Amino acid sequence: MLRGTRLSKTGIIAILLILVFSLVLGACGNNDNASSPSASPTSPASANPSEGAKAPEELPEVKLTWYFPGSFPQPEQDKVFAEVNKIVKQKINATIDFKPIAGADYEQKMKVVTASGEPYDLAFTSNWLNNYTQNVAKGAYLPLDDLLKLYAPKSYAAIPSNFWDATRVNGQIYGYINYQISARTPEIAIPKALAEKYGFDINSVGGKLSADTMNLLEPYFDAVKKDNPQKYVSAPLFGIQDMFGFENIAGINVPGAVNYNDDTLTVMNQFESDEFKKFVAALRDWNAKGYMNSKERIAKKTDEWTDAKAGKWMMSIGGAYKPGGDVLSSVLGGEAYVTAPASVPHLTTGGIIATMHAISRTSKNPERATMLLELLNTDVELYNLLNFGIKDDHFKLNDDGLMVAGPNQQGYNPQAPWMFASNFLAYVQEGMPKTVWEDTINLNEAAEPSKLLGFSFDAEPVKAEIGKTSAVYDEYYRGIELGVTSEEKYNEFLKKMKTAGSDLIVAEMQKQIDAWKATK
Amino acid sequence: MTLRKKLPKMLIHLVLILFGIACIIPLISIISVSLSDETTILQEGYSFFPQGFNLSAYAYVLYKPAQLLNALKVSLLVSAIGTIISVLISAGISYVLSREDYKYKNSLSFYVFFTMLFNGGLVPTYILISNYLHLKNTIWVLILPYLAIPWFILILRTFMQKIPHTIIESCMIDGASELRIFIQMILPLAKPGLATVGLFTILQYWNDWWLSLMYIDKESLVPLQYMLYRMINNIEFLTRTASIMPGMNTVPAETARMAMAILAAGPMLLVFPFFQKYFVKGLTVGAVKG
Repeated sequence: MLRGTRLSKTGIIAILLILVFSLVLGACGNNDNASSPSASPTSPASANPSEGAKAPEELPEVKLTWYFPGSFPQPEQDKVFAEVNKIVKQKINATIDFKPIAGADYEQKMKVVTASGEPYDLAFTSNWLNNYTQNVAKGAYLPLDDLLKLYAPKSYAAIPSNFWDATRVNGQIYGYINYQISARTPEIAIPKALAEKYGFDINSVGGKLSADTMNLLEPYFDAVKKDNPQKYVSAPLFGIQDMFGFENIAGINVPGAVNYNDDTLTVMNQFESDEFKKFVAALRDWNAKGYMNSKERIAKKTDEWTDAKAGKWMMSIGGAYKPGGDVLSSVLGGEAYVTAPASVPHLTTGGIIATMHAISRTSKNPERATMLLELLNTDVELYNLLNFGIKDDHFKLNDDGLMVAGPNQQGYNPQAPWMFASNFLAYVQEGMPKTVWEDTINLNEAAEPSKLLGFSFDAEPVKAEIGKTSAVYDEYYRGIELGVTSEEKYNEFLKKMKTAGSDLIVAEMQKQIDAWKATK
Repeated sequence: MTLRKKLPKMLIHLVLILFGIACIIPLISIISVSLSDETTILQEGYSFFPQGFNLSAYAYVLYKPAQLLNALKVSLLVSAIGTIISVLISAGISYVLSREDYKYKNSLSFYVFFTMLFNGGLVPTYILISNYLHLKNTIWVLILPYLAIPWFILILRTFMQKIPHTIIESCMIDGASELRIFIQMILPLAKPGLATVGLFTILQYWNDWWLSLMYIDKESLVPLQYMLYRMINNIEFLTRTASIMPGMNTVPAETARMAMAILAAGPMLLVFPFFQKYFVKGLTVGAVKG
């Protein structure tokens, strides 16, 4: 009997606990509802349309909270932020509560901030960090169309309209584009010393590489290999597929791509395409000829930039080409590099939404947040202050007006001009061509726009399949990119992909693309 | 004859010596890598002795030492306060759970151990702490969540159960109050257990970076582990996103990592020997009946 009462007491406590948990969960659910688009239909822009024209002193003072990622904290960030706030206060009577988050923590932190419904105004968002489409689907962000036209007319007009189309979800803009290099093509990079010694003109292959023309590079490899057996070519699968004219729909490791030349927008499994098979065969051939140093590399877990710094690269294919990128490769690779685009540049949704800012649904001052975006994207001095710190302290301008490191660069050097606002406001760094931003804008405009611009894939229905195929990809890709995977083994990879549900993913993509096409 | 007797002993000693060396070698090589030159490391790999001796990794990590010292202060403060309160609370709970004659023993143990298996999850916890308890950006957010850890309570309870009940009864006959029994009899008797759990708790507080990642935005409240964790992550982040950002500085990634490991582990390496004499006893007693 005694035992019976004890048990029932335990039972009561269990029930109480379950109740408490369900309350907590319920509160969380309510929070989601409150922030979903259907629950709050009022457009904040309709509040006071004339405010945009007001002088700063007429605006009530507000505080804006801004979350962004990067190499933070910087030792002297408070000093720089205080300077920024002085300008912002004077121009739009607002101060910014800066919330810089260390890059690697950003994803995690924003997830809880968003889910908890915490009030904030601005946040960095993209397709690779703090996922844009998922957050829009959750109702985390405000639609920006009206706000942009009213409060950020100049910077809104500066960005081509098809760029804005790429950010639209259900016809609405939810992300403000940090205008910069958006055209995507893999980059070929060669150490300058090698190029000169072996008389290899990178422009002779620039823009010409495809699955069929990989052999163009072989004479150079042969020449280098003879004298430097330890050097190898780095051609990771990551980011190389654009070279074949594929637009990957859900990332390079997920089956499903559309060919740029295909007006019918037929989704295929890129790993089964002829181009891919030819490329893999080329890699296999390179391995047989010893260009890849596969034996040495297959067991290694460190990233390959480490090898670059140790001077082991004779060429790298991959990444994203951009004008003035030589400077970057030179610093990363430890020696001077020359670069060229591997193929025709393409303009894709992914390239455009790679860096944006969104205004939170929980923002109390969305119009002022938009004004801040306008200010950041038009005020050269402010932008450079935020990016490179205080002039003559953290950076200096030399006699040609090019930017060089200041005496105290270590104090503030977040190295994230792609993140704060339009990259084209940045001072040109010494070593880059003076026309770098014009060149970049031209490259953007010349790039072949994807026919899928504005479509974004909802991965939810095939989440499980994507997980499984990614696991298969992870198992095989290293062998493939090092050229050690035989043809039979590659077919086995394709078969495993099929078993993991590649066909289902492709079918779901086709379904969504057809539905999207019908709305246009 | 003597050799035959000695041989097993010598074998055991040999094995233990080898094991000891195996434990010390990684530590020494970490120190030597942290003192080496980055490019030499990249070209020739790790080694047992510093190559191209230089202190640039420490210069990188210790640039603006005020920040680091402040982080160290936060860590020490949190570990000290947290451990004292946490051990007191755990001891209290464990003691009542170890008393067979405690009326609510079963329901209380259920309440404690249920949380070991189930919890509200990340988002509800975050909402509770930031929106209802308003603990964000206070030192308490680094202390309160780890005050009562079920696993440590379990260890301590098992230890206390080994204290004969008759001692408590005789105290009662002598007229001691419950509180007095707890403080003057039980706590001294449970010293090895308390020391063990205390060490675990210190480690828990000392090694934690998760709470500060979630709840601390204020630079002055960032503890050491989180600061170092963030530095390493930033180095990795810079390399990973390299393709989209120009103007990168070379940072001593490998050597800096090792320098941070030394800085993070250092103080604990000093504390550990002082607990060791209790450690073996406290842990085995706890584990045997765990």
